[in-house]
Amino acid sequence: MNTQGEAVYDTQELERTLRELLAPERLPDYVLSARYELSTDQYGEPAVRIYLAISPESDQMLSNDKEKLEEYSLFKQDLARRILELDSGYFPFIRMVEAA
Amino acid sequence: MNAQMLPEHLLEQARHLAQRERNRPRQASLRRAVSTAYYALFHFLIREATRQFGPDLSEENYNRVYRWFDHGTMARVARAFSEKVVRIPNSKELLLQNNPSWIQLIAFTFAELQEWRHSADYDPGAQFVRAEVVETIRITEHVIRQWKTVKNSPEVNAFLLSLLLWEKWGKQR
Repeated sequence: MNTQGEAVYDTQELERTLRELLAPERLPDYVLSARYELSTDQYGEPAVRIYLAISPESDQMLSNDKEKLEEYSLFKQDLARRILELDSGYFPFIRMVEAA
Repeated sequence: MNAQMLPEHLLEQARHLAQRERNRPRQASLRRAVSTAYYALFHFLIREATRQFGPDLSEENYNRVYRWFDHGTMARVARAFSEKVVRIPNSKELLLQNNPSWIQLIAFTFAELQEWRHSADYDPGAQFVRAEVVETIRITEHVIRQWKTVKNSPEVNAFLLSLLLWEKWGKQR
């Protein structure tokens, strides 16, 4: 229970699923790496932020390839759906970022 | 009403901003594109909800109703409607047993865009890539274009009504 008396979700299952979902073999080939953070959204509600690192070249390629971009969109929607189905209360915010 | 096409025009502007630089896009352009795309969807949902529930309002009253909507409630509704099963807030009762995937998509896109807009406008460390911004704009365009074909469903009505009266669903009497 938290201070408001609400049940606190055990994040172990969420994190285990995230590690599975973000395993390198499950990611599109242009994603160099993936990481997640358990945090909150701007209103303080639980959120999981997922960052998919891509190169500037991949960004340019995807920006000009409608088919690939739609495939990415489906991948992202599927990832979000799987996280939401866990009913953890953590809302997924998923986006690509430029690799460091 | 001068602002009736505001969502479509904002979306057009978002697309322009996302494609403004030929090669390496400036973060300023991508940030403004994200923020503009969010406001396109924000104004679109409010316009459609107001039209659906108050179709014959005078311009003055339309503008009054428009201001009843707020970002925070809309974000909570968007989170809830991103799921297949929609629960009434602060209750175990269900609002929708089988929320259509189309509403899940528009709700998810709204929740995501609102969070990104917050980062784009306030977080100096936030970084965006063009591909993600372009795809989010495309999805927003897609859901707006498809709206006519689904807007009269009971589920859409529940979604639109929730944008305004979310907490009221849990009211017992």
